[in-house]
Amino acid sequence: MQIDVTGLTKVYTTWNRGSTFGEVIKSIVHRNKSDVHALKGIDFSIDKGELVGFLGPNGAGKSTTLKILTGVLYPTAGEVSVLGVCPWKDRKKYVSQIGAVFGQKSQLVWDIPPVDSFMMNQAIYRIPERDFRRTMDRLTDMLAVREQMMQPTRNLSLGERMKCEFIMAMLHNPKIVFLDEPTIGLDVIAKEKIREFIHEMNREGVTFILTTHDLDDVERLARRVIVVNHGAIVFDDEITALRRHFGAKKIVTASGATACFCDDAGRELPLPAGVTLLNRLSPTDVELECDTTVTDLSALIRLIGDTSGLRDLSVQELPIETVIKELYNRD
Amino acid sequence: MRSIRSSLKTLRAVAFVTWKEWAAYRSHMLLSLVVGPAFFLAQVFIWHAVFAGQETLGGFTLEGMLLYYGASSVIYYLTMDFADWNLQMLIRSGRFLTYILRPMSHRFFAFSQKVGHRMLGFVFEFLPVWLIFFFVFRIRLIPAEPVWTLISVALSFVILFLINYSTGILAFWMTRTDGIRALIRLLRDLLAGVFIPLSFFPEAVQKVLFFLPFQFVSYVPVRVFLGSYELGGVAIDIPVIVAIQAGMVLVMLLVTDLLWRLGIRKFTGAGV
Amino acid sequence: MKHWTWMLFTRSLRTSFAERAAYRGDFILSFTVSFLLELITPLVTLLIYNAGTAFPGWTMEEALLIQAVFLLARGIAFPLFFGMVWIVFDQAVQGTFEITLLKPRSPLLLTMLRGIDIEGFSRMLGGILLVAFTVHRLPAPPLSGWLLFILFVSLSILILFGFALILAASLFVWIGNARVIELMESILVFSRYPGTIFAKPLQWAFAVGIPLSMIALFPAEALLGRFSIQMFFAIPASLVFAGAGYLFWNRMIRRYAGGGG
Repeated sequence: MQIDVTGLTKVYTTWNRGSTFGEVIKSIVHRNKSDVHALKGIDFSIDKGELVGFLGPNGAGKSTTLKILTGVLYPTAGEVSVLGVCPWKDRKKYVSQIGAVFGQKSQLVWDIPPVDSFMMNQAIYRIPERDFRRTMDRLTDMLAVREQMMQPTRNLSLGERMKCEFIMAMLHNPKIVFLDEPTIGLDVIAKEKIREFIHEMNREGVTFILTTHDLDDVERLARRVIVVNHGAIVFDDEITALRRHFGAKKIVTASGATACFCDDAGRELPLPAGVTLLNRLSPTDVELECDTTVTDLSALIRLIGDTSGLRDLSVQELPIETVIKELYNRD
Repeated sequence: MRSIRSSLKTLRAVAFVTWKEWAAYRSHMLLSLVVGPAFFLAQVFIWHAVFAGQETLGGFTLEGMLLYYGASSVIYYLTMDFADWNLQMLIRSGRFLTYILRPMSHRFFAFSQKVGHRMLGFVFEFLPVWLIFFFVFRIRLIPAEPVWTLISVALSFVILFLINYSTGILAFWMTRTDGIRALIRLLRDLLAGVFIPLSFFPEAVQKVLFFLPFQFVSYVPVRVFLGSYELGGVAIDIPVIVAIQAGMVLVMLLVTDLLWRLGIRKFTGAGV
Repeated sequence: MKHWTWMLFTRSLRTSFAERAAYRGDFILSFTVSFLLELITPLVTLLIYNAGTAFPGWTMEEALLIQAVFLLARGIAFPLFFGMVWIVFDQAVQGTFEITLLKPRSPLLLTMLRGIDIEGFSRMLGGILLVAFTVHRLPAPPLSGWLLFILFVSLSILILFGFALILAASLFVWIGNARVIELMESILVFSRYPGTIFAKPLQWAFAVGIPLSMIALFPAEALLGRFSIQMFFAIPASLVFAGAGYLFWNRMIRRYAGGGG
C-alpha cells in the first residue's frame, strides 16, 4: 500500500494556567497537566491512485492525522509508512514527493503575481527548467489561468487564487496531494472546475486525500470515506456503503389529492411504524422518512394512495448530511 | 449636562472592556519592567561618564539629568498609545465600516480604549517601573508640584492621543502608512526630548520647537515634574506653560477634526 | 546542486523587491526612516560633545566610529536575518507554519529568505557612509587593524544573527508578543557606547557573556589600534552565542512539531 498507518496515537499535554489571578500565580509554581487524546491508535491503508475523503467533526483528529501524514507533526505512538518512508523521520526527502492545498492558508505571496511564487517553488523543489515549464504550462492550461497568473495575487478572484494554489501544490509532480477544505468559499462554477481538475489528476494516478466539511465535495469526488470521531475511526468504506450503514432509509415526498396524514382540523394523524414526518409542506404535501426494513416502500405508497389519493411522489436517498450527523453523534 | 454624563458612561464602558481585553496580555506588558529600566540603566552609565568633572550640562546637574530620563520613562508609561496603528489597521482592513455604523464618534471610542489600556498600564507598567526606579536606581521620582504635574500629564495624555490619531487618519489616503507613521513617530520622540533634553539642541532650533505640538507630549510634562520649564533660552512659569499646553489640546482637536472631515470622504470600505 | 540555493536566494531578493515596489511611496519613506532612526544615537553623541563634554578617553570622531560600525553591522544583519522574526510572528499567530514545514528545505533557510527585506539595506548604506566619514577624520588604521576589523564585523553579524534566531524561536512559544523586539533593543543599546562608561565587571560580561562589545566597540577599537584582552575572549564567546541561538531555534521547531495543536 502506498500509505500504511498502524496504531497511530497522539496525546497532547496541555497545561492549565487557570484564569483567576490566584490560579495564575499558583501555576508558576505548579501547573496542572491534562492530556488530550487526539488520536487513539488508528489504523488504515490507502493505495496508489485512491481518492479518499476524511470526515469528522472539529476536534475529531482529522487535522492531527493530516499533519502527521505530511510529516509536520510527531505522533506519540504508532507507525506510519508513506511511499516507503516515515514522514517525520525523513522529512525533507519525503515532502518533496507530496503536495498540499489548504483552503484557508495561502501559499502565494499577496502582492506579486502567482507566477513569481511558482518560480520560488521551482527553486525550493529543485525542478529542472524544462520540466518546470512543461508542468506549469500544462497545469495553467488545464485550469485556464494563463493570464491571471501574471497579475498580483490580490487582484485575482478567490476561484482564480485557488486554482493557482493547486498549481503551486503540483508543480513538482507529487505522488500524493493532501487537500484541506480546497473549495471553501468558492462559487459553483469554480468548485466544478476544481473538482474536474482533481478528477483528471486522479485519473493520471495522483493519490488525493481530502479533508473537508463540504459534503458535496465528498459525494462528487471521493470513492472512499474515512470518518474520524473522538480520535478513532468510526467508518472506513466506500461512499455507497455510507448510506447503507444506517439501514435502508429513504426520503419520500408525497402530494395527496386530499389531506395527507392529517385531519380536517389540521391535527397530525399517526404514521405507520418506521415512518417519521420530516416536514409538512401543506395539509396535502408531506416529506417523510421511511425505514424500509420496518415498512417497505410499496406498503407506504399504497397507504397514501388509499387514504389521500396520490397525486405526486418522489423517493430519494437519505442525504449524506443526515448520515454524517448520525455518525458524528454516535458514542 | 446629560450628554457629558452619557459620554462619561460610554467612556467607562469602553475603558473597562478594553481593560479586560488586554488583561489577557498582561505578560506582554510586564516586559516593560525590563525594557524601561534597561534603557534607563544605559543613560545612567552614559551621563555618569560624561558628567565627570562637570557641574552642569545643558542646564542640568547629573542628578537632574537622571531625574529627567526617569521622569520621561514613567510619564511614557502613563501616556503612551498606538492609536495610529489601530486606526490604520481598521481602515486598511475595511473593518472601520462597523465603527461608522455606530452612533458614536470613533475618535472618542478610540480615546476610551486608550483610557482602559493605560489603566492596565498604570498597574502593570507605571507602578512597577516607578518602584524599580525608586528602590533599585535610587531615583526619587516625586514631582515638585504634584497638582500641576497631574494636569500636565493628563494634557499630554490627550495630545499624544490626538497626534497618533491624526497619523492614523492618513490611512484614508495611503494604502500603506508604515513609512509615514515611522517618520512621524521618529520626529515626535526626537522633538519631544525623549532621546536627549531639548536644551541640548541649538537655540534657534529650540525656538522653532516651542511652536510644535511635540514638546507638549514629553518635554513639557517632564519639566513640570522637575519644577522648572525653560526652552530656547526663555524660562516660563509652570501655570503658564500648562495653560499653553491646554491651548495645544484645542489646536490638535481642530487638526484631527479637519483631517477627519477630509479623510472620511475618501473612505470606500474596500476590503470588507 | 549548489545553484538551486543561489536561485532561491536571488528569487527571494526579487520577491522582496517586487513586494516593496508595490507600495513605492511607502518604501521610499520606510527606507529613509530606518536610516534616520539609526542616526539618533550619533546625533545625541554629537550634541553631547557640542555641549562641551566628552566620553572620557574618546574624541567625538572615535565615539561616532562605534556608532557607525553599529549601523554598518545592523545594516547587513537586519535585512538578511531579522525579517525572519516577523515571518515567524505571523505564521505562529495564524498557524500557517505548517506550510513552511511542508517544503523540502530547512525551515530556517526558508523563513530567512522569505523575510529578506531590502528596505533594511538603507542602514548598510548609511553605515558605510558614516564609517567612511569618521575613518577619514581619524589617523589611518594599519593593515592589521583593517583585517581585524573585517574579522570582528563578521563576528558582529554572527552575533546579530544569533539574536534573530533567539527572537524568532521565542515567538513559537510566546505567540503574538510583538514586544520581543523591544526587549532586544533594550539589550543592544549597551553595544553603542565606549566600553569605558561601564564598570569593569560589566565590560567583561559584555565580552564573554553576551558579547555585546563585539557588535560595534571591538571592531571600532581595532581600527583605532586599541587592543584589549577582552577582545580575545569575545571571539569564542561570539561563536558560542550564535551556536546557542541555533540550538534554541532547533529546539523550538521540534517543540512546535511535537506539540502543536
